[in-house]
Amino acid sequence: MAKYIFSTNQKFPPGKRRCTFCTNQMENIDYKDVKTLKHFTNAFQKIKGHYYTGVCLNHQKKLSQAIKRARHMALLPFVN
Amino acid sequence: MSKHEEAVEESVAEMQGYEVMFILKPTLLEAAVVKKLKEFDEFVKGAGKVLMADNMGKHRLAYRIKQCNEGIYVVYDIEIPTSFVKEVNQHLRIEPDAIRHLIMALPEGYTYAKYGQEEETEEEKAARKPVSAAIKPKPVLRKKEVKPAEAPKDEGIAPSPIDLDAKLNKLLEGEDLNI
Repeated sequence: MAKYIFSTNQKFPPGKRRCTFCTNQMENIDYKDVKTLKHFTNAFQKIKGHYYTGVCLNHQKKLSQAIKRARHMALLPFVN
Repeated sequence: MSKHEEAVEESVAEMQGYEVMFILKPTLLEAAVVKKLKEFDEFVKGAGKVLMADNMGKHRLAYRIKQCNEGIYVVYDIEIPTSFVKEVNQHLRIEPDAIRHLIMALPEGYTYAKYGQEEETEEEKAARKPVSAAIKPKPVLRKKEVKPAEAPKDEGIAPSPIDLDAKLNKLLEGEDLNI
């Protein structure tokens, strides 16, 4: 469970957005902690792009893999 | 032996950590669940070893799977040779009570952590605004204005207009006037 979460980074310009997983020093993202994963999906349970959340590209790839695994195990829905 | 055969032998004997998660049907009783987990334990111990077993309990599913809305989640951390993965997959695929399963390779420096059962710390509770009942408006207490007792009005005799004129004339003609 990440301690600091920046999920809506649209208030800041693109140069000042921070990646939540780099600040928490998390290398691996677990598909079981649904609480952090829910911050990176929109109202229709679609994955948000890293331009809007401020996540760096390496972590965005792991994030999307974790969300897809959670969807397969019925921890997250595919559609609202 | 040739290089190819040596490489095959090495890959077969190499042990790798895996994480297995599967969902059981919710209609199973506790004794039946314990029996199933024992079977899986013995199946894995034949080829490797079990690092961790955890029964997460009943959870609500996000969507319906095989006419079930709830499921019993089970997680295993095992260490097995790489050639045994296919048989684990087949064993879970054939099992009639396991409706979903997932096998994942463990990355380096991985420790199992329980999610969803953490209680909120007191800080988070204080940060959250408490839900209170509908606040009733407080009655505003005003100082009671003590009005002074009204003196009885001197009503007197209501003078009629005719008498006033007569009075005036008398006064003007009278001797008491000092001008």
